Amino acid sequence: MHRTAAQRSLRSRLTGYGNPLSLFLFLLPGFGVYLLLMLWPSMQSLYYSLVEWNGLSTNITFVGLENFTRMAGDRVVRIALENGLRNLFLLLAFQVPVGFLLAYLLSQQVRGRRVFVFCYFLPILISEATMALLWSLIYNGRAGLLNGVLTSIGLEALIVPWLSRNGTVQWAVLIPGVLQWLGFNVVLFLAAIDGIPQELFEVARLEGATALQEVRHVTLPGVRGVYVTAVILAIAGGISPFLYPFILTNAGPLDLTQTLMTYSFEKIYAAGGLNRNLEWGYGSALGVLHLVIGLALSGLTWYLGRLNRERWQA
Amino acid sequence: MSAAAQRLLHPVWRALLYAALIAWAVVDIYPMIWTALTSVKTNREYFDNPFGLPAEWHFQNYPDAWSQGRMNLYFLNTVALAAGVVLLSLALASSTSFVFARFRFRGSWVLWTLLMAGFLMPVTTRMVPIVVFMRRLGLYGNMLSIIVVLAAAAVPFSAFFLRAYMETIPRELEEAAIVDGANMWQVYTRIILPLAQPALATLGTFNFITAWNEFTMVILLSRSDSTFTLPVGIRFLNSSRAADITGTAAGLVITIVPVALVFLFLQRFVVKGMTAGALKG
Repeated sequence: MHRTAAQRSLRSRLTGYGNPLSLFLFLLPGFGVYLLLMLWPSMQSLYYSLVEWNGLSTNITFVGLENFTRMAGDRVVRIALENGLRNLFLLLAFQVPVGFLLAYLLSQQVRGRRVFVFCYFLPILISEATMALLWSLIYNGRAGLLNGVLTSIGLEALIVPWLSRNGTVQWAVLIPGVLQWLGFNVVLFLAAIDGIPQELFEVARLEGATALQEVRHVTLPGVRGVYVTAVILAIAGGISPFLYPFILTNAGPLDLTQTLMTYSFEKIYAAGGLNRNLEWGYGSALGVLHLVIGLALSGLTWYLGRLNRERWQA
Repeated sequence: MSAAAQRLLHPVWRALLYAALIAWAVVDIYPMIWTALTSVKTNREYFDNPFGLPAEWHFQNYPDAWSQGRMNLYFLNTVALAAGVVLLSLALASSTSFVFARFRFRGSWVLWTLLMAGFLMPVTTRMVPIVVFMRRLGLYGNMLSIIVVLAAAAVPFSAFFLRAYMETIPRELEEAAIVDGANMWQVYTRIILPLAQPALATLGTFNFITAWNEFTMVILLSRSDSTFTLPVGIRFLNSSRAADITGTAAGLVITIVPVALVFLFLQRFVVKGMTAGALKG
């Protein structure tokens, strides 16, 4: 008996190359582990954010939205959000623009460009925990690098207790991270500038554009896509700095340098059993707040970037 | 080098341009040089002379940090963690991205979007559930749990990066093999993986550095310092012996040098891996 073409094709779809079972088996390891240790835990924390639990006992009490109403009146949450905004300000007003500026300078036929890129990029590759420890030596009051430099150029008057004075410490724990990651923006923008067709610059020059006009009408539009990306990355990663405040000041003094993540970590991490005030429910609720704020801000930036593109094209 | 925005500049402007570039390089590099110099002083000399060259080169800080400061243990742990994460994440991501690069099926778009959602999930949100899960499995305090968790966290970016690369691999070789009766496993191991080697190398370097530098999950899933890595363990150099600034500096150098060497030799791979997502996205 001859099989029909339809039967044959069904059979080959089920057993031939790329059949559903083998696709499933190929997806399973990677997607399964991702599901189990990324996606599912992130959703589970929605449940944990609704309970009261010290993380150790079997006694988990469902408390509804109590953790969230508590956040609304929590002074430390307000401080954490303020510090997030401080960091966003530093990133958007300093890191991204200076990153673009340095990339622009590097694109001007600079000798030793590879050496500069090496210097700018190296800090990114070093763990923030390591850099934070290095910065604790820089800020050290008795013989730190910063005070030494200020003294040697006659600016002793500017020396303050960097890591304990209210109004200073909040910025002091953020600046190292802003500097460390600035080189990332340089490299991003540099690649984007290199990608702009050479003819555009030649046309601009033929028409007698000044350097500023050239930047305004050729370079900046050429890097627009990367600019939006840099801003989204800054916002997604910048709303809650963690390791610099955690290591430099342990989020203190008096909680002044708390961020959403340091505060959440403090509620969760037992520090060798020394921390007895564990609140895993509240810590999870803080994590959920972090997720929601991050999603909202990235979504907003992406949307504004798209609106802006439409306006440019119109 | 492309001459992208090249313009003939007045020498004064050109000098200012170099001044700005060099100034920023100094901001980035001088603290590291200062740390290296500090690491070869005694604590006493450091307080007298924090910035100059050491009067006498004092290398004792290194063996002290290495054995008394337990940097030897942390170093081995870091190597094991980074190697484990690289192997596991590449294995997981390459098979997954092979499917997404070559097949469209009902729901594949949804699965891909779910995978890419991993970019947006802060680690804060999953800390509690992961610790609970690892405790339940009896893997809390075990290096294996840290490796798996970090490999899982690396999957979204790795799959994104590998899929983009695999889509550029021409299909002719595969089609010939399929006609000859090759199955998916054979195509994956004999055609796709060998041809994807450049991408695997770039990604491996990137995942290695990320794992080498990890802090949060290591400290969160450690029961004692027996699973600490360099970025976590180095903090205790200072507290073990009071205000040991030069010893801490030696520990910093031990932590920084391997990464700096990787970067020196693999600069192009590293930069490409770090910026790929942002440039395509």
